[in-house]
Amino acid sequence: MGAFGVKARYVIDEQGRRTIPYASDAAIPAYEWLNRLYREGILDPNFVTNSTSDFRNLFLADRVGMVTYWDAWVGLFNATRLNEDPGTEFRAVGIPGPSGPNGERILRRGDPSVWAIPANASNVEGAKKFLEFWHTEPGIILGSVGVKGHDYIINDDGRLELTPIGREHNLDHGVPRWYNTRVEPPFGYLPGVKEAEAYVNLYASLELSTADWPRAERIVNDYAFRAITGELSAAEAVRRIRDELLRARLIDY
Amino acid sequence: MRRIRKHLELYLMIAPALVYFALFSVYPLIQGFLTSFQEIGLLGNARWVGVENYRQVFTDFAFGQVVINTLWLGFGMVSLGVIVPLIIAVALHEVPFAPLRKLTQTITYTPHLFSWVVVGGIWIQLLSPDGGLVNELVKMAGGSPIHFLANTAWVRPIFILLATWKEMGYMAVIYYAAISSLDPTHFEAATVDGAGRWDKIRHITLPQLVPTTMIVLVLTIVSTLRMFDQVFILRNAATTRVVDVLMTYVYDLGMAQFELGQATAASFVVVVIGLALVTVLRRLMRIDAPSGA
Repeated sequence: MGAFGVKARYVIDEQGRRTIPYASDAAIPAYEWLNRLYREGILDPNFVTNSTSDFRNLFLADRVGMVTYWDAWVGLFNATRLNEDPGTEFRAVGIPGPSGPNGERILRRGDPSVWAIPANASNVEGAKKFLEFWHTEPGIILGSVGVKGHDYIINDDGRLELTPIGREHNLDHGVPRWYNTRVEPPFGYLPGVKEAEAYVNLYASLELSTADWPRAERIVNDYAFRAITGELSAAEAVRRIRDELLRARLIDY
Repeated sequence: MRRIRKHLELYLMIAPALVYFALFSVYPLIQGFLTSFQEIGLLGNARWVGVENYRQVFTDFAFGQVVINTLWLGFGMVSLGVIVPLIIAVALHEVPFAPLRKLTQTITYTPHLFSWVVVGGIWIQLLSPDGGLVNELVKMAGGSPIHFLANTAWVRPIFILLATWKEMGYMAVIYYAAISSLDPTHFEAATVDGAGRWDKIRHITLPQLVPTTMIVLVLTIVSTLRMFDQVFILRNAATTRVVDVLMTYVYDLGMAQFELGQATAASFVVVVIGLALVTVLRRLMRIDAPSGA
């Protein structure tokens, strides 16, 4: 979609009017292109029913050559295959995506992490303390490297060493991305992650979700998937998305 | 009070069950009913909003669509879910070779034992347009692969067929038990009178299975209102619009969008529909009437 300059989710203009670029005429060639990939068998025919674990396994098994996923997974893919076979020629790399009509590249940033403590929580101070801990060195080590004595041990020289279980877990215990800029990751970054992250930092921007987005998303995805599989023409799909979003007052234009 | 004292030991015996239902059915029902009049999110205090949640549900276009989907799928599943097991049970009863009969019963019953997670995963593979068994057979017959689970024209019939396939063995057991309890002298008398196999089925077996059929009908109708697992496992973005049912709508509102007040309002609408349906069915089928009435 980025190749056609179409951004995901909502865009709100200076007058505060909402639109969804995936429902605009600019998205028509994108759906046509995806439909062509589907017809020619380049896009996995099972993409509609594949789960995230399905396409990860397909990629790891060399059954597909490209997937769209988080930058952190570049490292996880490489680490998984290297753990199985250190001599493997498998290499996952992040790519910046094609340029749009104005030369820009659009990558998805993903939803930002927001920590919220309810005002009526029974232990607000305890929750704050946890959040503070989570962003310290021991906190990120727990979330990334894992549990001491189980996923890693500390050698006599103070350096961390992964156990076989820790190697299998690929430094992912809920925190696959090392987000703490003040603490150096003890094992460095998984292969390919830094390069992929660099593209995200350069080209990715946040998507805007409003409270209405879940309802709008269902409408967009419904017709978009049918356009990709050829059940509807791209133009007809976009027309129906836009009409339905306008009728439901989920967009303003 | 006198009656209670008179049968005190009986009431004490059912007391644990009553307490269980009070704690795990009645209390959550009352709590849910109260929640349906409040605006409750993931965080923050609840706010009383009266019938606003119900108004939003009834004016939500998506709710109307899921009602249509539930009726569509429900009608198909009830129709096939009553007829197919009956055919299987009657056919099984005619099989004289007991080991074959038992083997067939086991094979037809086995899918009922698996959860939809397993059954759904198997059928997603079988129906896959890329190497799935069904589409390979279609290609051998000269056709083009069909993405059954992504095509809005196919997905509803497929859902109905899969649900029937999964539950037909279980319902067939109910029918078979009823057939086995029929008085054999009727069949013997019919044989003496020269009735053939089909005559016996038509004039003896089927009429006497009417009460059992009513029960199967009620069970099937109630289960279609509660339909969730199959739809949740097998739906996808391309087909959600035509297969989402009442319970997945409630789930999406409550668990995905955290609109707990609206979700409980929707779930109570389902409860009311279910109650009304069962009441009407019981009246129409005169389930409570004495035999022969």
